[in-house]
Parts: sequence; structure tokens; C-alpha cells
Amino acid sequence: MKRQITEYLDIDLESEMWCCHTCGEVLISARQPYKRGCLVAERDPREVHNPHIEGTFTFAPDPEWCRLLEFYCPGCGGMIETEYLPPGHPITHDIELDIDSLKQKYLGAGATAAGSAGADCAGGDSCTLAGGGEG
Amino acid sequence: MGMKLDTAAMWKPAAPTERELACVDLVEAADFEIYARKLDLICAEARQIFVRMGAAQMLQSGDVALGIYTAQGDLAACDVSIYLHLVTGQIPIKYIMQTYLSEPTVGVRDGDIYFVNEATFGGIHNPDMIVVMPIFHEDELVGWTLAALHEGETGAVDPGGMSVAAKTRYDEGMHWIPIKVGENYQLKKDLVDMMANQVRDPRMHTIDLKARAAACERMIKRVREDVIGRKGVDFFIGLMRKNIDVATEAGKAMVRELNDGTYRTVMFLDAVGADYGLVRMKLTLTKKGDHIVMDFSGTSPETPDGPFNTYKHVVIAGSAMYIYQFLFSDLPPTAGAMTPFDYEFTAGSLLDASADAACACGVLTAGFLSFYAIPSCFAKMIFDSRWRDRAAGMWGTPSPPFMYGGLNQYGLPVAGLASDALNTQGAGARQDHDGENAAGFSFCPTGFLQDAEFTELQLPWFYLFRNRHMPDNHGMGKYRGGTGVMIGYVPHNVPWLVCGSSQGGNKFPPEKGLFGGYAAMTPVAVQVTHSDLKQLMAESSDTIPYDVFEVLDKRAVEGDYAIESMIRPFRPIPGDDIMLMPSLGGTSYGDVLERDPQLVVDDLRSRVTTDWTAWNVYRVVYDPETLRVDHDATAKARAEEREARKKRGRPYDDFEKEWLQKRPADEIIKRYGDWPNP
Repeated sequence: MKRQITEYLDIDLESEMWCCHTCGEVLISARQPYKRGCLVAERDPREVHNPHIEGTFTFAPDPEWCRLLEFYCPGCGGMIETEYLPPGHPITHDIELDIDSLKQKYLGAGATAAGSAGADCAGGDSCTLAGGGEG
Repeated sequence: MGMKLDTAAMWKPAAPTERELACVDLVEAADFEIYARKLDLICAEARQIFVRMGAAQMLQSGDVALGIYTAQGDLAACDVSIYLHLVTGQIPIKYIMQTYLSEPTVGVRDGDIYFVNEATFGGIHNPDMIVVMPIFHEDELVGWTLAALHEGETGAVDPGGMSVAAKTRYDEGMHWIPIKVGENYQLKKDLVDMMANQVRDPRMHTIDLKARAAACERMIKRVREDVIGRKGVDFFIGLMRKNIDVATEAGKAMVRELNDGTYRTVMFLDAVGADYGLVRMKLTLTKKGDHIVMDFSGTSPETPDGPFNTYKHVVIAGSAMYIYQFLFSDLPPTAGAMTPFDYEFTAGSLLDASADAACACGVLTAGFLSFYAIPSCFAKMIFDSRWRDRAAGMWGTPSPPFMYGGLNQYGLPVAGLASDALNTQGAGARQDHDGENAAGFSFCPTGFLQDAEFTELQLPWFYLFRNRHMPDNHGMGKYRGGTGVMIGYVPHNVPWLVCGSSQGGNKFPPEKGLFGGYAAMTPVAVQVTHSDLKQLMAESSDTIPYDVFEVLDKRAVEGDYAIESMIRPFRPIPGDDIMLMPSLGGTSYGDVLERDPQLVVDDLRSRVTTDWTAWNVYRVVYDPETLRVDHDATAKARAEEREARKKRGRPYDDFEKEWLQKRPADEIIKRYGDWPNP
């Protein structure tokens, strides 16, 4: 049984895996940040925000201050999420669902005991499991 | 040192009194439906009184708040207005009840008129000025009324009420904790004159103070005649309590259905005063059962030299704007709706500043959280629920206010905040359609853009343009945000006007796209000095510009061009200068490559987007002459871009290892706190 969590993300409750809603690609354990199962690209925001003029202020974000991170489905290349961050700022662990609660809600009592197909995430604010600090 | 009230227990509904519990059973279902709406309509009528009497431009635009409160000070009914004021308005009422009700030198009596604008006592920032008046039935205090409005002048170091030059509270002008400025339904002339003596626009202040009191008085009159007079005072007390209880129970029931978990976001401001500097705000939202905790720890420290600091109750009331307008849009907007929520802050942070901190622009900080950070977390919680349609993009918020001071064309002193940029924000994208262009003011969805000629009649400028959407000024996605506008102010019939504005977002977009969407543009401010505009107008020239890019790209007006931050220190503007200010576009929804190509071309035709964006963002191929979409070529271009993404994208671990080695320049993060986690 899959639940659609965002426009482009499903969780397969039986296998406890994040999946791409568009193509079904299995991304990573639902107990891990879904972004870890995506391809990631860093972009100069001026590539997608029209710098209408030259100079200090251009109508586009300043790349010295701001970078655009794009998270793609490795299967279909769909844009699963974006994040605007200062260079080097830890990536945000934005969705950390209570998987046991979710399984109990949709699969019924006893479902929480099912084995996880992926490593249990240590939790925390950042997608980083070691060394990145909180995001 | 300034006084700072502990507001922690003041924004949630108090436990019902025995009298309320006895009265609530008197309210039967049918009567509840009729009379709860009656209370709303009483507030709506008071709004008309308020707006028609007032002088400030935000008042004339309907950007106000009207509410009815219980005797204990809990919000029990209101007009659809600025919920920010309505929630914090509970605090001065509760302070009056705790401190002055039994104080023999002050007291609370029928006809009293209390005024407050102190941010640390339940105001937002000191331009937000509130009047509260008690509702008495015979000798019993049975409720309160409130009328609130952002007054664009406080007697601060700059005109307009939101000085970017303020470094402490002592630069910000009036700070009145709750004070009785009238008795027996009469304002006290000595206190009114004292207030007028502290500000640059005494006429506006005096008129608007009277308008607030008149609005409150009208609510009192209607409650007495239409509710108490028909159904009795016990019914009125029970009705208010029930309106709170219904919101409490329904809010908890809805929260209980949502997925348990933790949701996080970070957002960044690029300026917290006249100088630039990056700061971070962080939200960790934890939902379990029927309870939600919003934890803002990890936010940058208070800035000692800028006015973007704010207070806990302002952030909490800011969250109510999202909660009342979107999350609980079908519940009574009363104190009960806030029951499921608790909040945590770090003392000394930007969001829990000290009493002496400057906070005149702190409402912008809270506004960014209200419409970008908080909705971002909730959208990810409610998508997998029967309220999925409420996972939506947000309005372009708050938009940089244009502030002014000087003499008007009649020789009268004026100072204030022009509401044009506020009431033309783009709305957010939804799951099945674009946001509305120039939709209005996110803080007050029932506000409206004031008539241009009416404004020009009162104030010393004319609009070079105000009626053109600004291309690309919106979040881009499968569905785009509504686009904002660019407003051109030209001082007129006066030798000069002092002008400034106070909002960053020129280097780092505070807003967020939803579910893979891109942020909106980071617009800038423009000033053209020594322009030949009025000469062109005298000649009826056909080169007079009608939008910002005609000014910038074609240089349709001769003069000295300055491209600036939207945080503009105040400066005198001669009568031949042009000041351009943007309103902000709404946020986006979904992957840009899923946008219907025809919608992109439609936006080109209406000049809402540009050829640059149509290709570089949306990958749409079309005939530049006919604007006919080439669907096959577009599909091919989009397939190629998806493949390019897969080549460009790197496995997470590899990417992160390199990414975390980066760091902004020290100058950029000088106000940030410890990098990367303040």
C-alpha cells in the first residue's frame, strides 16, 4: 500500500520505502531522509532566475549568498524538491514521518513490527548522518 | 530599559469561568448558527465605520482588525481582517484585566477607551496601534471590543513608522503600554493632544484614534441591542464561549487526523537593517496526536543594530494568519483555534529579542515565517489528508512598504506608509491553478488597493504606473504564483518629499517554492533622479514609460539611475524624481517541466513572463511571431532537460561531502551567529 506524501513522493508502507510518485522509482528507506535517495545538483540561481540587468542587484538571487539545490528522481529526472541555501549550509531533513504510526494508521495494528528494508535513520535535523551538524 | 511583559500564557484561551460554563448550555444549535454570524456581522459593520472615518492609507485600504473578546480577553468573534492584530490584541486586554481592573487609580468602567502600541505588551511593532473598549451590561463587564490599524507614523527617527535606521527602541518613537485615553465614551483631549504632539502627522493620528474608538463603540452598541437585547446577557456570554469551544474541538480533531512526524524548514533574510547581513530562522514542527509544537530554536541571535527583531507573541500571532486563513479556514477564527499549538523559542534570538531591541520591522520577520516557513512545513503534513487542497503556495509577503514624510500639496504635514505594494501581492499557486495576479494583502485578504486618484488627491505624489504586472515577479512551477506589480511614485505639487522603504530579499529570496517549484524573483528598487519625466508629460511624449522594464531597458526617461536595495534609507526626493517599488509575487507549486506549455505562452502574451524564462526555465518552444506552441519540439526539449538533470545530479553522499566544505564570506554571515547552526 502506497501513500502519497507530497506531489512527487510516495511511501510504500509494506516495504517502508520512499518512491517517486511519477515513475515509481524506489528511492530509499522511508526511515531515511528522502533527499538521500535523490540525485542532487547545485545551481547558480541566475540559471533559472532571469537576471534582467547587470550590477549589484539584478532581479536574481546573488550566488555569493544563495545557491539553488535541486533534488531529482534518478529514474525519471523529475524535480522532487528544491532548496535555496547559503553555500555549504546543511541540507534540511524536511520530512521525518513517524513510520510506525503511519503503518498503524493505514495497515492496522501489528503493522509496525514489520521489518525495515533500509537502515534506520538516526534522525536529526539534517540529511547528514555524520559530520554535517544540524540543518 | 523598556518593560517587557511575559506573554506566554496570554495568547491561548483561558479556562472557562463558572459563569461561562453555566451560560454555554443556554446556546442551542440553531441560535448558535444565527448569533455567531451576527457577531461576525457586527464586526463587519464596525469595519465599515472604521474605514470610512479614517485617514491612514492602510485604513482607507481596509487593512484593519475588528474583534469581540470575552471578559477574560479571549478572541470570540471577528471580521475577516488582520488576524495578527486580533491574536495579539488579547494580550493588552488580559494585561488590563490583571493590572488595572482592581487598581483604584485606573479601573475599568463602561465607556473607557484604552490605547496601546507597545510591542512588548501585545502590540506587533509600535506603528500597530490598538484601541480596546469594554462591553458592560449594567454593572457587569461581559466582554471587550478591539479596533486595530497600522498607523504609518510613530514619531521615530524616520517618518513612516518602520525606520530601518532604528538601532534600539529609543529610536522608534511612541511606546504606549495600555493607557486609558478616554472615559464615558469621550476621548480625553489632553491625552489626544499629547499623542498628536509626538508625531509628524497629528491630523492623521487624531482622526484615526477617533475612528478606532467609533468602531469599538459601534460594536458595543450592536452587541447590546442585537444580542444582549434580544437574547439576554447570559446568552451572549455563552455564545462567545461556545464559539471558542467549537474551534477548540474542531481544530484538535483535524490535527489528530494528520500524519504524525517532524517537519523542518530553514529560511534566510539578507538584511536586518540598513546594512546587509544574512540571518537564519529555523522551524522544527513536531506533530503527535492532536498536538503540534513549533520550535524556532536554531534561529540567529538578536541584531543589536537593526529593527528586524521581534517577540514571541508576534511570531505566534503571525502563525495564526496561516492557521486561520488556510489550515483552519472553515473554523471560527477564535482563540480556541490556537489550542492545538505550542511554541518554543531561544531567548535572545531574533524572534525573542530583549526589551530594548529595535523591532519596528520585526513584523516583516514574522510575516516571512507566517507565509513561507510555517506553510512549508504544514503543506508536507496535510498533503496526505482529506485537506490536501490546503497544501498550497503562499502569497508574496510582506512586500516592501514605501514610506514618506513632508508637507502635502495643501501645506499640511503628512507622514505614513503607502499600502500599494501590500495590497497588490500575488497569491500563491494551488494544485490545479496559478495564483491570482496582484491579489491583495496576505495579512488582510479583505483589504483592497486604494483608488489611485483618491490617493493622489490626498497625498503629494502621482503614480507613473501602478497597473502593470511585473514580468517574472512570481514563483515558477507547474503552477506559478500570482505576479506582483511595480509601482512608480513621482512627488507632485510639492518641492520634495522624504521617502524610504524597509525590506530586504534582494540577494536571497525569503520565499520557497512548494514541491519542486522555484522561488520568485528578488526584485530591486529603482530611483531616477533629475529625470525629464515632467517635460515628457508636458509634451505628451509617446516615450513616457508604463512599466519598470521600459524604464530600465529602454531608459525611456533621461536622468541618473540608481538600482538599489529595497531597504532604502530615507532621503529627500525632489519633484522630478521617480521612485519605483515592487510588490511581491506569490509562490509556486511543482516541477516547471510539467507546466502546460500553452500557459507559458499565455503568460508571454500578457507580459507576465519573458522569452528568457519561457526557454531557460520552462523549456517551451514556440513561434516568436505567432506565439504558437510547438508541442513536439517542447516535449523533446523537456525530455532532453530531464536527461540533463540526471547527468547534472550527483549521488547524495558524493554531493554532500563537497557541499559542506563551502561557506559564505565572513562579511555575509557577520550577523548570522555560529556557522552553520546559530
